[in-house]
Formats: sequence, structure tokens, C-alpha cells
Amino acid sequence: MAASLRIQSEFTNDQDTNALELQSSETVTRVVERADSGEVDARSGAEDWPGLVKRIQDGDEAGMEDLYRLFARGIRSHFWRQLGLQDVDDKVHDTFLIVVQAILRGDLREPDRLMGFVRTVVRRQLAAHIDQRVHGRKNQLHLDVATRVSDRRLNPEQHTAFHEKVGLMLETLTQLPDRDTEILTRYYLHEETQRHICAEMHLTAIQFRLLKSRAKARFGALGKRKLRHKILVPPFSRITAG
Amino acid sequence: MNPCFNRHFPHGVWEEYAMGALSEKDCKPLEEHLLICSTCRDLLSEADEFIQVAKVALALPAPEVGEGQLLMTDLAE
Repeated sequence: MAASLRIQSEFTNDQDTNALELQSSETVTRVVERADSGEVDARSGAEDWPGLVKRIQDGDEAGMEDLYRLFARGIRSHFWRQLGLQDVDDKVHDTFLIVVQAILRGDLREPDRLMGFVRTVVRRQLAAHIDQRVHGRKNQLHLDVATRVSDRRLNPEQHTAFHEKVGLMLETLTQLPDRDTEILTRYYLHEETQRHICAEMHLTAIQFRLLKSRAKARFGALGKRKLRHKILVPPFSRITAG
Repeated sequence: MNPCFNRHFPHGVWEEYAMGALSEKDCKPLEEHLLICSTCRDLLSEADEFIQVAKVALALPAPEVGEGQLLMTDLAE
């Protein structure tokens, strides 16, 4: 009964909704441009979600700006991590628009749960994007099933930095006992669970964590040492030496 | 869970998250926190990178001492 009332209400308010969405879309674009051009202070009004939701419902553009400043980087980061760089700005804008429109329509029943609501919208956007891309790729003749949906690519500088780190990791591994390397291999490469590794190798959870920390500490220390060396040795001397 | 800017999840948690080792229920508060916390986003980014580096390095044949640098050059090429 409640559902049918809601559907009826949505149907009769269809025109109002369209007007609201058009208006909020323009407002959101304006807010995003203003927020992007200014200094980002993600802490303003952070602790008071109901207050922030109320301000947005009251049409306060500063409230929308606060919402955008609070969430834009996190949303962008989530999309980037999952999808790579392509279309991220559009996705952030779309997500923000959906959230604002839902707040204006009163769809956010529990303002305290604003973070959870934003997360849900982000996940739906992500799922829709992945679904779209997977279907698009089905038409390709040589579909590589191992190819990730992400478009993330490393630029040459990042590529070099990454391989330097792999080199450091290899050096770190030579300094570890075989047993430690086996544990790291099982965990990071074969993605065996901590519980499984501990059971098979007779380790406690504390020993497992200590071992991982030790490997990371060695990796970090070696990296710092190499970095110091790089700073001390002028780049030209390295080129001429080669 | 209330939004919290000053309390952060430890690195180990982000590593488990990055490894996909956490349940949906456990991921929820983490992902909500990530939306508003740049410190934890950095921790996750570090964990992501460490895991990628470890995967590549561990997949290679074990080098002798001092060979890591040489293998790195081969990889970069």
C-alpha cells in the first residue's frame, strides 16, 4: 500500500521532479565550478550531517559547496582506484548530482546516514560503468578476459618509479630468510588467507603480522637509503658513469 | 558510525581491504570513511602500491644478493 502511494505520488509529481532536477543540475554545475576553483577545506561542517542535509534542502548553495568539498576527493579517488583516469570528472559530477537531487527530493530518510548514502550511489555508478564496458567489450573479437576494467596506465615517470620499487623489493627479498619469503609469496602473490598460512606454517597471528612488518620495514629502509644516495649523487654523474 | 576526521584505520586494515580480504560488512565503514579522510586514502594508496610491487617482485625468480638492481633494469626495458 505504502509502495503504491509512493508510486502514485512520484507519478503526479513527475513534472515538478523534472523541473527540480533541471534546476538542481544547473546549481550543482555552478557549485562544482566554484568549489573546484577555491581552496578545499574538507572539514567545514563535517560533523553535522543532518544540519548539512537541511541546508541543502533549504536551497543553501553554500551547503552544496560544503557537501562537494567534503566528498569530491573521496569519490574521485574511489573511481580512479577502480576505473583509472578515464571519465572520472564526469563520474564525480554525476554522483554529486544524484546525491543532491536525492536530498532535495527528500529521498534521504536518515540524514545521519549521508556517508552511507553517498557510498551507495558511488557503488551503483561504478557497477553501471563496469557493466556498460563489459557489454561493450563482448563485441570485440579478441576479448582478453584477464584485462581489467580499469584503464589505469602508468606514465613513463611512474613506470620507472614502480620498477625501481620492484628492484628494491627484490633486494629486500634477498635479505629475508626463505621461510619469510615463502610467507610473503603465499600472502601477496597467491593470495592465501592469513588463517590458512598460519595453520599450514604453524604461525600465530602475531608472528604473521610481525613478519610482514619486518619485511616492510626493510623495504622502507632500503628505499630511504637509495633515495638518500640518489639525492647525494648528482644526476649527470650517473649518466656519464653509464 | 559517525564521521571522524581525526581517527584513522591502521595500515594493516587498508592492506586487507586492498587485498580484497574483507567481507562486504567490514568494507562498508572503511569505504564510508575513505570518502572523507585523505589520510586513510593515502594509507590505502600506499597499501595498493606495496601489494603491486610485492606481486611483481615475488613472481620473479629469486635473485642473488645485489641482483635486484640488475633485474630492475631488465624490467624497465
